[in-house]
Amino acid sequence: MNPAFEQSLKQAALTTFGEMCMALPSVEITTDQIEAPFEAEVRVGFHGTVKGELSVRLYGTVLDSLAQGMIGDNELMDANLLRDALGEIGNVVCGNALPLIAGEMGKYRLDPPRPALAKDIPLKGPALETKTQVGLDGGRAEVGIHIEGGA
Amino acid sequence: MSLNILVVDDSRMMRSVLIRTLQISGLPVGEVHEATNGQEGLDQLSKHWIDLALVDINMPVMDGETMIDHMRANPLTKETPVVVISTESSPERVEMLKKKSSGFVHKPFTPEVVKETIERITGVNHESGV
Repeated sequence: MNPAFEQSLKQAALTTFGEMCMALPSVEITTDQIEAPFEAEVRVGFHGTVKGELSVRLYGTVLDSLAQGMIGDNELMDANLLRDALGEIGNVVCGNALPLIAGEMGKYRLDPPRPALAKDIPLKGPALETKTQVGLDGGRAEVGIHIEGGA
Repeated sequence: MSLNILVVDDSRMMRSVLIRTLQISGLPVGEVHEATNGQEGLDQLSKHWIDLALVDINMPVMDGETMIDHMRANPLTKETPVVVISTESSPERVEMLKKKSSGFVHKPFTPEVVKETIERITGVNHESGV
């Protein structure tokens, strides 16, 4: 666990959920949020100055409201739109975390995000060495990263 | 004058977010066309008069950067304003994308940033509509 990377992940998560999803993410996590069941995960691979994979896992019932917050409207969310929203959340968290982790001059490309809801086939990927979490209304988000060569 | 706008992003959600942003911006928006990748974006440009394109970078089939290169090589679209909307953060990449386009908006963005960027590029604002 790298404390600096952990802080970078937390900052990227707070920015993404706050500014893109119009949510009110919190640093403090309640017992209910900790015990909330798995809801969805997105993984985003990246390669360049640093290579690895970032994961955003959601617990509780948060994805629908995050997606509604993104679109700013009461649109009926089907599973594909939820996966699409989840993919964009992963993309933006990763895009905002990497400059903090790799340095502003880092060069990298993001792979297409791989989103999966709880009812989908679970995603496979490398173990995440550094993780952090933020509280969300109705649950929490856990953000983790694997960097080849060690984080 | 109303602006015909092309929104190019592989994420249906992000296209909806951008269209919603345009709707609430107060800008005089005319037709809004959508494309899921750069190739579809070029197809739309060949079919419709477009005043402004909002273009993501990381997309399958054809990425946004290649799409802009094709636009700049085509006499019919070389002057069409393009705003890049991307998570790209590396200063070198952002500078390069700014040179190729008319403006750059970093994700996550606020509706105000998108609106101000469009106003600056097109000279159209929400008060006068011109």
